[in-house]
Amino acid sequence: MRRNPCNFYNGDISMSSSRRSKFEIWAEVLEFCLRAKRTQTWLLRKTRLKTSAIKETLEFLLSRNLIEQLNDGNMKKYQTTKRGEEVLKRFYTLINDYFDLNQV
Amino acid sequence: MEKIENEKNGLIKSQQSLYTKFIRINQLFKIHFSSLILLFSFAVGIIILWIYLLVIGQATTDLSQRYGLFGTIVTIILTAVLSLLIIQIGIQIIFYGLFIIRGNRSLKQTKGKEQTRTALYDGIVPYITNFYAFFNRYSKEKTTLIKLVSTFLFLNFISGFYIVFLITRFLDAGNVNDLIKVCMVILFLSMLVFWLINLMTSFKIRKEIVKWEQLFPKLNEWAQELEQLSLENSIFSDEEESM
Repeated sequence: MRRNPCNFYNGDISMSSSRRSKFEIWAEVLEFCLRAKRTQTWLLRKTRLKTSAIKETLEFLLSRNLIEQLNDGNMKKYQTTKRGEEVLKRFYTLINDYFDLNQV
Repeated sequence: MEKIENEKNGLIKSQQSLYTKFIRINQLFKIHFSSLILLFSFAVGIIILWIYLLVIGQATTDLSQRYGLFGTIVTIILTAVLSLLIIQIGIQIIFYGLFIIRGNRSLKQTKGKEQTRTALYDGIVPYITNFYAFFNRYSKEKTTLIKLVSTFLFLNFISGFYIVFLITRFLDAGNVNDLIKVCMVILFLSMLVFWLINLMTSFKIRKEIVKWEQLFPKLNEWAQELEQLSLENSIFSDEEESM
């Protein structure tokens, strides 16, 4: 499929097993894990990603210390860390500032 | 402790501000969608009324009477164009309908039953994802979303104008009874209002789409920044926090 050469669709930005871009998936997982601790299955269902993609995402976020893995009984749960909150806040601020600047 | 609370407040404020903005954008799409549905229904209603008048003999096709076969062909072409324009309004209804359904779903997710730790909402990113999915779907070189929305805007203008033009011709139909005439005038004025609302919202939506298209590269930059965060960085950050 030909891609538009002059905009953001171009380039290697999509996850290997999903048509969604990295920013969507990372921000979504960070936001979901912000309200409460989430299991991998819960995230899998909510984000509608393939197992390999959600594993890849969780590994990435864990490696950057943006989420933490907690043991809740036999279950492994994930929660956004302070650093993750900061990163997500930056994501929101980016959009807020952009819309405030472009308000007519 | 106070610093942490302030940070949380900052996050919640950002979320609230975004949520308000998205509600406003969603409202714009809903108004546009409603005006499309009304325009579509009225246009179909008018065609049905016109056919009914032709069948019962209260209306005549002037062109057929004046120009014979040529007039009949022109009448058929006019009706075919009208049908095509109505079909394209139908396509727009499906297009915007799908967008609204997905957008509503993500914005409704916001108030969960779980106890809120820091955030008030969790439907903000899914709403952005919904927008982004639409951009991706129409990311082919020849039909970007902006081009598609601009085409819809142009077609809305043409179809509204065309329908209004046809109705003015129907209004002249000589031997129609008064009740039907009143109905047609009401239909005509209502359609005019909905058409104008539709044009205004079309312009606003186009502006909104342009804004979003410019925003997405910035969000990709955010993702690239995350990729550049090193493990050392995170350890450093942890040390800072513990201090």
